[in-house]
Amino acid sequence: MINRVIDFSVRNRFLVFALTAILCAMGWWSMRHVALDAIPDLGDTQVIILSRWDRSPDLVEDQVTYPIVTAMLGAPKVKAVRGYSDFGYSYVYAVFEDGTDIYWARSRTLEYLSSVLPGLPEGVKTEIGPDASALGWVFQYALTDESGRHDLAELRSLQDWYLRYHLKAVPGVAEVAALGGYGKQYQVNLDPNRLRAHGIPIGRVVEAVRGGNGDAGGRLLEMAGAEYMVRGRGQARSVKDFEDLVLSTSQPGSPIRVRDVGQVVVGPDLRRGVADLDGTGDVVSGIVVMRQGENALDVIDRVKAKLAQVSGGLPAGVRVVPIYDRSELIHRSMDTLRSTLVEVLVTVSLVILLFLWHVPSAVIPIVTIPVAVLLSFIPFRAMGITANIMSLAGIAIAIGALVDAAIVVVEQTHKRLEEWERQGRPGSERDVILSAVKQVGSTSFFALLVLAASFLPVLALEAQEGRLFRPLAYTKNLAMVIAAVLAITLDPALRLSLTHLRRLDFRPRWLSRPLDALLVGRILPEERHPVSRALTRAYLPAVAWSLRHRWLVIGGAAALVLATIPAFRSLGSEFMPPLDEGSLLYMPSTMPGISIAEAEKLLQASDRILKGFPEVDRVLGKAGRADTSTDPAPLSMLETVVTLKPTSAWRRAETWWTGWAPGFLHPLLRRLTPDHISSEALVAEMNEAVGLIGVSNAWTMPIKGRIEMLSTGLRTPVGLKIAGSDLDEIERLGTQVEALLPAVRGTRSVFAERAGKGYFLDVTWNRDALARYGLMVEEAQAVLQAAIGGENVTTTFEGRARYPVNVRYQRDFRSDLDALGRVQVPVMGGKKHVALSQLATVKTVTGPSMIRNEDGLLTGYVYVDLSDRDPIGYVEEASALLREKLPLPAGYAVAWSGQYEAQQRAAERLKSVVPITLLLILLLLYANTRSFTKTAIVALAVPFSAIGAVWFLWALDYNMSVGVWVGLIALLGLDAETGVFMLLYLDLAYEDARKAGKLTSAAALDEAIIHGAAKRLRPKFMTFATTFVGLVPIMWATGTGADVMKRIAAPMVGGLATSFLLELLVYPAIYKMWRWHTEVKANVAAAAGAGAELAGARLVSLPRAAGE
Amino acid sequence: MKTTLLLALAALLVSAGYLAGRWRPGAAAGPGNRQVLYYVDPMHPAYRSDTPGTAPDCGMALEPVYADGAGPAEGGAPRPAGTVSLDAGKRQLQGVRIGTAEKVAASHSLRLLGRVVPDETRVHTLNAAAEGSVRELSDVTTGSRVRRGQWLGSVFMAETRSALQAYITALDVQDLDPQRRAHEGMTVSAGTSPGRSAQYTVERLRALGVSQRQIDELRLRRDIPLTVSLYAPVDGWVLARGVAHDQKFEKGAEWFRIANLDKVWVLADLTDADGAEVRPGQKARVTLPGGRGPLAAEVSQVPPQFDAASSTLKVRLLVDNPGATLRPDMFVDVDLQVERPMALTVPVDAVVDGGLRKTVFVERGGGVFEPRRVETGRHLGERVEIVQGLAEGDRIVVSGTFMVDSESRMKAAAAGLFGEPSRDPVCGMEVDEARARAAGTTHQHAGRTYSFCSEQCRRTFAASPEAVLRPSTGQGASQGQDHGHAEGHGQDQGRQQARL
Repeated sequence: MINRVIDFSVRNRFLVFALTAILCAMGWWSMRHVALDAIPDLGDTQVIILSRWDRSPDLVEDQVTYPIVTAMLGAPKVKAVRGYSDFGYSYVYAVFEDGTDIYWARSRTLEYLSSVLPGLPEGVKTEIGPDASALGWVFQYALTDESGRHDLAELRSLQDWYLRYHLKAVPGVAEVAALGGYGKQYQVNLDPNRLRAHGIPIGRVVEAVRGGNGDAGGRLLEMAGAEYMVRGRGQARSVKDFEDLVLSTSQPGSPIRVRDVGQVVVGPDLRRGVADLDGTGDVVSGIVVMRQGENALDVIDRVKAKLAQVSGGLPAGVRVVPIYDRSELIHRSMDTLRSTLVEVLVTVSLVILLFLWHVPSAVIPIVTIPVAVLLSFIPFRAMGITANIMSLAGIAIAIGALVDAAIVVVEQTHKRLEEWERQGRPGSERDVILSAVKQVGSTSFFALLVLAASFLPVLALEAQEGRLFRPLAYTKNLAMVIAAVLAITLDPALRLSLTHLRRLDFRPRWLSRPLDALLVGRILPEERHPVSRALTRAYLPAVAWSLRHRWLVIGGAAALVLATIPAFRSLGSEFMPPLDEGSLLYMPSTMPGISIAEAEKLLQASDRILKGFPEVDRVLGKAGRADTSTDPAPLSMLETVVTLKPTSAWRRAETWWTGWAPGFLHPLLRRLTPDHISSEALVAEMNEAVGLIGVSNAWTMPIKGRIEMLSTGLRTPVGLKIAGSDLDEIERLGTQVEALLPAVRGTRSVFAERAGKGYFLDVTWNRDALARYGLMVEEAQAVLQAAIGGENVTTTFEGRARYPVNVRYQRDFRSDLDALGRVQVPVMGGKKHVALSQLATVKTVTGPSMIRNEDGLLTGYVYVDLSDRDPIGYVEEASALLREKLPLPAGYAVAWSGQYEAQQRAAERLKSVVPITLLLILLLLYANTRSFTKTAIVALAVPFSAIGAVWFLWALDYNMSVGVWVGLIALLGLDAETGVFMLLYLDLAYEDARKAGKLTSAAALDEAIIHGAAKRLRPKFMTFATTFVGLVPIMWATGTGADVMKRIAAPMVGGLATSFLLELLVYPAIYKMWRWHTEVKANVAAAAGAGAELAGARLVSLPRAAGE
Repeated sequence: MKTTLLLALAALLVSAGYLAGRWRPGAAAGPGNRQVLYYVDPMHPAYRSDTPGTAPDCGMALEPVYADGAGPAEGGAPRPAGTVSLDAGKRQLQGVRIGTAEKVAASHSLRLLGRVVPDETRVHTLNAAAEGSVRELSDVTTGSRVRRGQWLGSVFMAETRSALQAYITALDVQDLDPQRRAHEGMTVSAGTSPGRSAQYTVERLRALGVSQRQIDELRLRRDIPLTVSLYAPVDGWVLARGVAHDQKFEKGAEWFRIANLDKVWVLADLTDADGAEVRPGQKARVTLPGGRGPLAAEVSQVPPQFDAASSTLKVRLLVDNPGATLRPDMFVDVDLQVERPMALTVPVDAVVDGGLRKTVFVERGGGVFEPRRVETGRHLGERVEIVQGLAEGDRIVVSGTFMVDSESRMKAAAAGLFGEPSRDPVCGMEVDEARARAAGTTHQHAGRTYSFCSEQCRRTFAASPEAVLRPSTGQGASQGQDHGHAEGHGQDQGRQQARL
């Protein structure tokens, strides 16, 4: 079948070339048009249910959040439901199972929500959030004013009523959230004394304001053949319009207007979030939230184009300053990958050229690589995979192995052509080549398929790790499969077109000589090839020595494997390899109940410190929440995005080469160990510098942090969730944990949320007193709400802008406890007023500030930030400590969450994935060799590679992570491949010797083995070298995304090296022992004894046992 | 021989690998590059350890003491949980300012709404003593300013005729020679003398509304007028005009009410609580809605009256009203200056009010602040009175208190405290009761439950509770003196003891 394909390709060469050219063009187009991203979209499918109700958190929790959470728990495919109840807001996040379509999930949410909605209290406004998540915060800008003529309210109006709509209209943008500045508001500030004097209840003012702001329509009027639309112009459009609203008339008919009982001003609306730029103070900022599943780069490009277009409409001096721009990260990581891919291509090509020393032959694998890469972009794009660090890394780690089939084919034809030449060129060269190709074609085709198949279990990873590594597995396997197909189609066709043996002989000589070298070349036998001759010369004594000291070699190898175990055990573990995003997210928490002014002060102080670092480009801080349902942060949580300058601008740090290396070496050495301060050191310094009192610091990176918040609700890599029924008890447990954990090594900070420590002013009505004045509680409450709370009564319409109108007491009459006691409650229809203190007691208490609800249970978080420690090891140590020291009351449970949760899940999955991979490979090996012994010998490559892999990881100080495991899985496949090649040539030599009847003594066996091992070093070394050298540029890479790729490539690099070296040394020894004990020994004995016929018979039966 | 060598080699490799595996670069490095001398238990500074870890008694993280002297426990006296240390740089950065608790005679102003009413003592009413009708009227109307004696109008009252007649007769009688009267032997009693009788008739006329001026005219002219003229009795303003042309009026009807407004009253509502502070003679300032004024006022000697309907007190202020700026029924703003006795006060922002617990942060020197529980009294504008817990001159945090409090609560949590702390009578350290209960380090003695930081302390106490309890009071006192505010700290200490 495969041979027929080869035949067909060879016969229809030009068809193959044409097809390849067309496909390459398609691949090129796909590559140019594939969507770019930094990392795959990792967000869970999530639907946000946002409810607004101006009540305290406990009321919101009991009456809104809890019913919604419990209803959503029953919805299909829901994985987790998290609820947050804050002052005035209820957020419910329903997280759906992997792969659930967001729009499907949204309609299920609506269905289940509809059963709860009628039961919610009056005045609760519930809506479903945008089809986006906090992960969609791709672009953040600040509005600055250089002219100094616009105040924050005006800038905010520009943001709210001009920029927002323009940007929201950009395809892919779900929402544009405003942050900072002041929303404009009309405020009717009342003097309670005047209200009392005029006998006007506050409710009357509210009614008047509400009723005094509305247009009416009087339909149409026809006059003189024209129709006139009748309008009643009642809209209030200015402060004066509100001031002139009449409240009542006194007996003689003199009206009492709003201005008689207070004044109307334009002031700031209630703020729940504040922004700060570089520590310079409050600033207006906008966050572009991308729709889930959109491509960030495209969206950002469109947003930028739109900004360029609309910025002309901004007042002079006002500028939109981009602060956080994810496209920079995407571009940076793409640059890294692009250069790495090119480096890989070039080095692999060089290796091939060097080893074959024959340009026309080398061209085949060299052409195969880019063609395979280009072609793999076609299905890649069709499958909707974006080009990101992961998917391109898949291609990068595959390249070395892509050419294996081509190399084997080329090498085989070389060998055959050598023989053919030696034998004086019998028959046509075409047949020789074809038969050589056919000889190894199917093997190499299957070898590549095996490599691909052995990587398939990676697809079994689930959730976040699955989303991260599946693209890598797809692209790697796609490239492999395509390369395998090319190996039997394009390669034979090229082979026959390019191999010319007739020397070019024309004048001028200076032209024909290089052309000859380029197009025809001279096929050097392996023995005369400079590189392989040197290698062979070095290897020969080694293999001879290894055969002499078999036990020492085997024992040494076993000892090395054993010695690796403690190193393996000492490796830390983490969930995901870190991706250096080039910006930091600094997230301090403080106690709940912080006022917005204090939060602003805190934000400004920390931003100013951070801005002082020379590595820092811009600092944009946020306290509280942006105007979006994707942000449930209370004021006590600060979030500061710190964008860093490129590392070249960082402070220099001493490293081992800075003292002596001449300047021209620096760019090279910098790749080995950077000479700028490391980002860990930078974060440590920043953490030290912003050690403000009253806050607990946490550091992460924007994407990483948001992914974690999304998947676990925690803002730190590790955290503890305490679930129970009483908030106070949860808080108590939390503070105990806070006291216990710093003793565990690696704790940077621990912060238990003080869920129960918000400040409240409780107005408790005295029902007797109310009864005395004939007041209903509701009436009294309404006064309280209007007088202090400052309800938004109505909205003004000014062009596109809308501003709320608010009625309440003047500040002095509601600013402190005493003043509150004097709030006048109208009785007897407003004729008399009674002080609030007569009707109720007012006192301060503490209570829940923000309530978390996870799957219906009250939950408190303890955030743990780590430095210099692997999360998993930390959690194991810490949970042991907690088990010992933290007695849990009945009905309370603590669970570790954050990365740990994901790591546990991944570890669970890997426990089955790795053995399955191993089993799959063994099966394939067995299918290939049909011999348990050979399978076992090949499988020895696994422990051998483990040595290098583990020690290399150890030397680089890498933690075990899913990325490393994926690298190890890829390594398993490579092991099998190299092992098979090693054994292949030993077997071939052995068979040759056996057929020649030379195997009559131990020395003869040694010679056969040495021949097989050393004389055929070239193909083995080439396949190893291309794969190995193909990975080196990845290890060499610096820049964004390199760290992630390095984690995958590191075990492969280390493992390949040791497995190759040990295979070279140990395989001959083991092979000798195997062959000696099973066959040759008996053979020799028989020969020495008498039964020569018997020995002959046994030899005949061998081929089947050996099983090619 | 060879095998032994091999085995030895293998063992060497394995152990080398293991050792290498155990060693992690950078694992042992402490914060920064400072040299750690030893580690101490932050609550029991006597406990020292060469290695980091947890304290054996309370499971707290040991704190390092560095060679450069910065260590957790200077002095050695246990600090209360939640103590915060803050250097000057950080204070400035976070806007933490230090002030002192001062004794001030606070005066603050009560802002009230007052209503202007005429001084009751300066109101004059002209009303009808009999029925009649209006004859003539001047152009004086409600709100007109009148001078004393100004003619206001004339009324006809039938009943006045007999009174007028009687007056003239009386005058005539008076005019007879008194000697002749004596000659005729008329005995004249004091009550019935002609002079007396004329006086009586004058009063009668006056009661009917005839003004003194008209009576004087009558005496000269002896001619009975048809109508009675009405004259303004004082300089003032017409508050009410109950007459119209040709109007008939009943007996008792009010013609004019005229008030003198040189001084007026302002009535203002007070809540019960404020009422207790208002004393007669207090000064006040009265301003008019348009911002005119201010006028000086004084709380009159009359105690505030209680208004049952709105359950407020009404205070009366007497205001000089030059130019009659204030008119009756005007609403005015009253700033009542309330003087208070000297009291220990701190700025309002210095107190963290958690409802049940009010805390102030007191500097203990060297940028170390400890939380102090206080009880507050009245609010005095921007300051609040401290009833208990502070001494005069205590240096306290007056702004940025929230952040100091947050830090303090985190520190307290780090010390394992949650909620109400209780003091371990043995070592003086603050212990979380709930935790002590859970750990079983509590002891019942004399009907009280004592909590301890560790089993060791509990045993010491259980062995001889009295011996432990007695010296501990002394310790508290000496501690108070140490920090130079014996009063405040002593009280604090006292409460701590009481809670034990």
